[in-house]
Amino acid sequence: MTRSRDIANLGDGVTAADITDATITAAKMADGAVEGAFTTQIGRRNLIINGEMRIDQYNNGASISTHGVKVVDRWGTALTNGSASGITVQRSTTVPTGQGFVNSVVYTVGTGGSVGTGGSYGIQHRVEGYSVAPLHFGSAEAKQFTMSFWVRSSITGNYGIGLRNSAKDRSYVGEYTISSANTWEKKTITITADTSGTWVEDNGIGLDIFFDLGVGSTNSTTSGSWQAGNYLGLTGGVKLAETTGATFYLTGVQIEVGSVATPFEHISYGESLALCQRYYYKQHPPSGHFFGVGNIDGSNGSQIRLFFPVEMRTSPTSVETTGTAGNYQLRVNGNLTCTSVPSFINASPWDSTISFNKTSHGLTNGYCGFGRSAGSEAYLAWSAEL
Amino acid sequence: MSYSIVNTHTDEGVTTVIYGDGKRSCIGIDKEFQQWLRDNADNLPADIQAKVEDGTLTIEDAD
Repeated sequence: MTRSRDIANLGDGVTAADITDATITAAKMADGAVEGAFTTQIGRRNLIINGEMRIDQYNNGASISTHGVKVVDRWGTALTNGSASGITVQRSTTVPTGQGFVNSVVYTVGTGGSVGTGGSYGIQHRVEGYSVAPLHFGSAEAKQFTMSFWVRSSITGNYGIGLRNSAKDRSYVGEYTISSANTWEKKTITITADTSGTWVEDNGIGLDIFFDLGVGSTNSTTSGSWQAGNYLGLTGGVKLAETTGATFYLTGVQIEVGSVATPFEHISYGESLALCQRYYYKQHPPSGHFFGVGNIDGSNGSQIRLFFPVEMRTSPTSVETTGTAGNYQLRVNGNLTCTSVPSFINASPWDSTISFNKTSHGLTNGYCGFGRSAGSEAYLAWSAEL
Repeated sequence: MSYSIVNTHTDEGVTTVIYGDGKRSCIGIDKEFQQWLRDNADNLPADIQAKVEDGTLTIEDAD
């Protein structure tokens, strides 16, 4: 490139045609001479698991009306401490057009009521400390990160998003505006991680995220800065839970390092499921298939060992069943229908031992036995949720 | 939610097995069960009260 051509191009910028192969070598560049227009990272970017709301081991799309449980994997319900009632939350197939999403979560208010001072209404996601460690919360090295998500609400106005540490003594409330009712909109919020407070960077709660649909005044504050205290809601923000029949949809949630909201990172179903199984694992073999193998132990039970497909976050402390003993069988040389649902013996992050129970089974201690499914609805599930 | 003891394993490191709400069975460290224990400490079912008194089940302080 000649100097005259260089000068001639100043007005228009340098185009690819101006640069021939190998004219700009590494040796010609000083450190920092070439910088990206933005700070972001290539490759796996999203710190959120199941941000597209697709994996639903818990409910398989069924509606939930209970506070403090999971609606889909990794996403929890909050619908308590106010006078709103009849709230349901469930996976939906209503999604933004052309964005590659299959599912969202929809929060529907039955009968609206005041959220008062202590109300807690919203959708919650907790990120494990190991995952947010690269953001260096609680240090002078705290990094900038960007949240992006798609929302659709029947009520326009300003909404809050609460971010909180595990100790619930450091909080940030972000704010976004929904301008058109019942219309999908993408929202982006860029935040610099907190430089103060104690933040978990191991397998505990690294970052608690709360989409505010009605937080009471006690836990609400103004937006835009990290504060001491426990805040999840936006003072003056829309309290969706106070409006009968209101709906709020959410999908495509992403948190990434840097100041740019890149397109949502779609990953394979199998990858997403495996990420979710670190926190909750449901095994549901077809009728007649085995859950696991073990031995007869005692006159009424057994010790059946089952392996988890991925290492769980921590050791589960209970097992979830269908609640129907007849869905389960204990087998040695014949199938014995259980007289109570399988019960928890122990678990590690890698496996669990479960007793398939049959009162007075008459089997010999130490014999090899199998835990068996006796119906298409039979399952066992373990939780290591945050 | 209600709980009752359906089995007790005496293997090393294994504690009382407790059956709850028809869906969940748990040992004493289960968070939901511990909350239930605290909420109902003054009116526990006899089988669970016995386990508390003989020391095989501990009611832990809230987080």
